[in-house]
Amino acid sequence: MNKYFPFELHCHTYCSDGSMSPAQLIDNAKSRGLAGIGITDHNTYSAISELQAIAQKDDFVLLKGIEWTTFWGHFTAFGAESIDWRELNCGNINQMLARAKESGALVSIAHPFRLGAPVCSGCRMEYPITDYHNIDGYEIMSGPFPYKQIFNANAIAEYDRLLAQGYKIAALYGYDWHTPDKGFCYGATYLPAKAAQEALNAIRAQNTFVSLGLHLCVRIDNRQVAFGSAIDSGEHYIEVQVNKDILPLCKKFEIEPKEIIVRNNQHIYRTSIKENAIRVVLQTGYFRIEVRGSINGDMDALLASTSPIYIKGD
Amino acid sequence: MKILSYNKTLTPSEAYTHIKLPFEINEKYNSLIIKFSYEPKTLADKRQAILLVEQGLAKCGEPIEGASGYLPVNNLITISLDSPAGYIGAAHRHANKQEHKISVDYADKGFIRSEIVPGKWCVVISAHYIASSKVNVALEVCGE
Repeated sequence: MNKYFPFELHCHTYCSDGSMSPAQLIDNAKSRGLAGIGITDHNTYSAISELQAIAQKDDFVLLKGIEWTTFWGHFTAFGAESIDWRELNCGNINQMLARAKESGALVSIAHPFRLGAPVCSGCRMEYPITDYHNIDGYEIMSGPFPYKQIFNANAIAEYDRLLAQGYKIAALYGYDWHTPDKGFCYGATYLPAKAAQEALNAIRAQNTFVSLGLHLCVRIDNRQVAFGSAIDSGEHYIEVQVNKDILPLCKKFEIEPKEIIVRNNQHIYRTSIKENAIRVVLQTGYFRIEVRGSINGDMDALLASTSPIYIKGD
Repeated sequence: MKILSYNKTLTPSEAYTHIKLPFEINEKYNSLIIKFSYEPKTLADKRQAILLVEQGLAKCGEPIEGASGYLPVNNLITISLDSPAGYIGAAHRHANKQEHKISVDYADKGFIRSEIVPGKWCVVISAHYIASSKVNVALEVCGE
């Protein structure tokens, strides 16, 4: 069985507008119980050499990236050194994303439904992206207390719309981490990876889930299935094992999973955590799993969500 | 030695633009000093600020009530730097008075240590958001 590890894929240091040094960021990431981080300082790579030295010494996974912090949207990008963020504009965005993809970069859309200018200039995704084949990941959850945020509900709705169009995009969480912990609830992107290249490969394969500390394992007809893989359409027996391994600084929030939701295109199937299995007829397209439950007094919160498992046609 | 000096007044119509300021270095320096500032940081007209926030919220499909909770409205302008060898980095932060030093063995936050070699360099001023009717930008590059 694949083991998934929690990563934070969107964080900043004092090399852009964060307040943490590279050493503090890695220290705090370990306190959060993370196996690794993706550094995504705004428009600069200057923290990477120091982070890399610390990560190597500490056996901590570091994904070397940047946040293209442009006027009409933000992208987290890994292996994207050949792209100049200043060249991105609404007229060339699709060509620039295609060029990034061709160069081997892994590019994800950051916090697509945050408020834009003047509250947070450039933070909302306003680019006229017409081809999402060049997008590897999508922050369906971001920020602290992600289950409370309307912008995350909007992001998940848009993510479903893109999946329904046939795009293959990984579900990501990004705290957009700028400052040391203030006692807020946070999540993570879970990846079956203990090294940077494995982590990038997992995102490219959509083998991810986002969670507030619940580990998800999906078995279909008694076989574990990786997120991002494909199965045949038709009747299937889906089991979802949900194990609580709450992230260290979130234990105080009393997270309790209650319900498993299977979303197959527009169809929604529900079962309880206690039952943890459901027989469904899956239609061509995709399905993904959500787990809802209680947290900190909120009785119906989204606690985890997976990347899709694709359903092949007849 | 002063290599580049640039002053400009930006208006809201110049938001979302990059101003490229190429400059030539003709001799080797130990370090490059960039002084960058813009004034004002904040839109002083509170009424106008609330109007802009309301417009921003409406554009995002959000209720405009509570717009005053998002004040103040700030201008945001950043700089980035290219050496003859390529992109060195950016100072993407909110302070409106900045000074950066770059040399082969030291670089201020946001920039990669670089040898200050002769050749074509470029500073780029990026106007992420201009709310005030006039924002005075000043930039100076010196070699030491």
